Amino acid sequence: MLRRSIRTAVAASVLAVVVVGCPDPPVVGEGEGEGEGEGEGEGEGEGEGEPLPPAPFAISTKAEVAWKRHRAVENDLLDALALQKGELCNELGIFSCIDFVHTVPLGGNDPFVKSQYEPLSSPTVTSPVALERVVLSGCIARVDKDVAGPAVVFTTLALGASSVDDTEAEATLDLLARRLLRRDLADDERVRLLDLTDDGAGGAVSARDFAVLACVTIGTMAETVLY
Amino acid sequence: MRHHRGPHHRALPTTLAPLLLLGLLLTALSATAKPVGPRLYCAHYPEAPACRGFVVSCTQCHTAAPTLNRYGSDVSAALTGAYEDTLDEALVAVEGLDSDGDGLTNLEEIVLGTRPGDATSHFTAPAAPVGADNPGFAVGSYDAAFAHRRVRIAYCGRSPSYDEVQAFAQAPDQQQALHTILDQCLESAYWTREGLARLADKRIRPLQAINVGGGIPLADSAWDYRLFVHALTGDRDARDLLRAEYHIAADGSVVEGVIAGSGGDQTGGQPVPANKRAGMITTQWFMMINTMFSELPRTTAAQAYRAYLGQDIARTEGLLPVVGEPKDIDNKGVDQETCTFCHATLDPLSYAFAYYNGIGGPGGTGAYRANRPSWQPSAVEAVLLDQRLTDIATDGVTGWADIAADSPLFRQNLASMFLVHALGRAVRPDEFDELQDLADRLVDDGYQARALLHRLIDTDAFGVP
Repeated sequence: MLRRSIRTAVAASVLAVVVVGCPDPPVVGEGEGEGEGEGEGEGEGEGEGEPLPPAPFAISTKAEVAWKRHRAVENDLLDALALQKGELCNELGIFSCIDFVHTVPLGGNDPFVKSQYEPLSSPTVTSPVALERVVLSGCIARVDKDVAGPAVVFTTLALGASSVDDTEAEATLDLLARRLLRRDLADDERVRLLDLTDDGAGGAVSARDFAVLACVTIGTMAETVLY
Repeated sequence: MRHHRGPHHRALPTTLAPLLLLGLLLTALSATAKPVGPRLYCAHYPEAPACRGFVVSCTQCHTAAPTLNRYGSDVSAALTGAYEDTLDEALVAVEGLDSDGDGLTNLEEIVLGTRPGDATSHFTAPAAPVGADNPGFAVGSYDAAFAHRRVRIAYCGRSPSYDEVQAFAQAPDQQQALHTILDQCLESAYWTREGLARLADKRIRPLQAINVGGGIPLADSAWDYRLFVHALTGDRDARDLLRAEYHIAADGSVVEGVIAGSGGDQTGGQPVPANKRAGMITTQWFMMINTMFSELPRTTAAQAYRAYLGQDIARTEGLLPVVGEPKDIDNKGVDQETCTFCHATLDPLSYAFAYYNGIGGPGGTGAYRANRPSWQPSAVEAVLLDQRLTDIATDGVTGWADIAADSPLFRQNLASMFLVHALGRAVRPDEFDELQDLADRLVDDGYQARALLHRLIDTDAFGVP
């Protein structure tokens, strides 16, 4: 519960900056679509949901957010977590989540077997679930490898410890942000993410669990898949 | 007075009555479907985005021809005499109306490039951003950092790393750095093996089950993918998509001439000699998957028209009816009134493709045969984009390909393919001018896809968040 609320809060705050606001998408265009997003058909639909509060700075009036597709998601995760392709999410240990199992919700298409010649134009309801599965898999794989040593990513944590102090945690969060978000954390983001050292009931979270939690929380923020 | 029915007369079943009524209604409506309409419309609005370089789709006035949409109905109601004679006046008469009720007048929509008869098709230009500087983006102006991320993701298949982001921020000339990065990406394994291949999918339409290596191998689409990538990389002329007389082997080398396949059908080979080759549209796979067993391969011509000129006849796009067509040369009944709407354009497009086998046949799958059609060459006239093809029995599809490759439609289709891919969405009305410019500049750039992409990343459509 705690994890979910933190993730939601962080994602919302980041989205407000990254999406740079889309209070009232003005466009319903027409024409073609191609390739990764090349899908033919009608243009964008009207936006729904709660309007964002007024921003303290200029926001984009193009209301444009692009979907980072499956291959870029995979490459970014492999790069960020220093993993090999086969180490990232395999169904039954055999079928790649990226190439077979979740290809479509992650933005890809399968022309050869399914005769699906174009990818979807926008994420589906299962896209977040698929993304979380892939990221969680990668984070666990990386933490397990670092526990076995030598550590490659979680170099600032004593992964066998039963708790994490704030200094270690901050260093880890900063490191993960640079690897996964390719930027530095804002101060308020770091403060909120530090809550991951606490289990929500006053107890400590082990270093290993903190590593996985921090990795998944940062690795599934909106900006890792929307840009 | 009641008419007496004899014992053999039965009342129409109640289920047939609505069908009969529908048939009568469709017959009446067909009188309002005007295959000449797109041509006349664009003669009246030559500068409208929907008419640039070609004719407007029938959906401008129809929901599904011959049924009129609300704009088409208004135009029809404004006609004061014969359609061809009074259409101009009728178009002017309804310019001030808002036929679809979306808040824009018909003329405003025509100028913008949205559909005046479709309330879901409208556009309002984004307002200029206001407020203090955005900490993350240069909203409203070209943002090189934003473009940098887009270039890396779209053409390298990965985001820039933290270090790459920092290095780019320090670059003395960010625009030059961006083009250097693009060149690196365009040579990357991602772009040459996957990125471009995904753009080819709907043009090649592979199917594992009948591909070499599948359960029922009939042809090898890998030849098609390699040629597609070859023509759109390096400094090559993208018109090779339609003009290449060669093939690309698995090791990347150029192969000339006939390539033997396996068995009597030459499966997996390329049986068409160089002088009958026309790039992507005469490969064994293309003929197999589209022509199959057709004597007059309309599907093949329609796919070539759709994939490389962007005109989908099934969506009533690109209709340029030829007088006297369709001749129904293969006795399929396409000369019936409801069929002529499309077949007056489609059949003349298709004649040239009739000289190539589909599945099987003498010489193998996809092979060229001068005597394949059962009709005399003089019995038909092949026409593409209002241009008549000469001697298709000798030239095959090469004349078709030459006309297509040099047409504005080819350039627009190529520019549209790359721009839509880069943006991840349809092109918006305020981006039409940039799209047109990309297409036009292809001529100056020797039709190089690489040059087109360098221009593309400099556009506002690409770089303004």
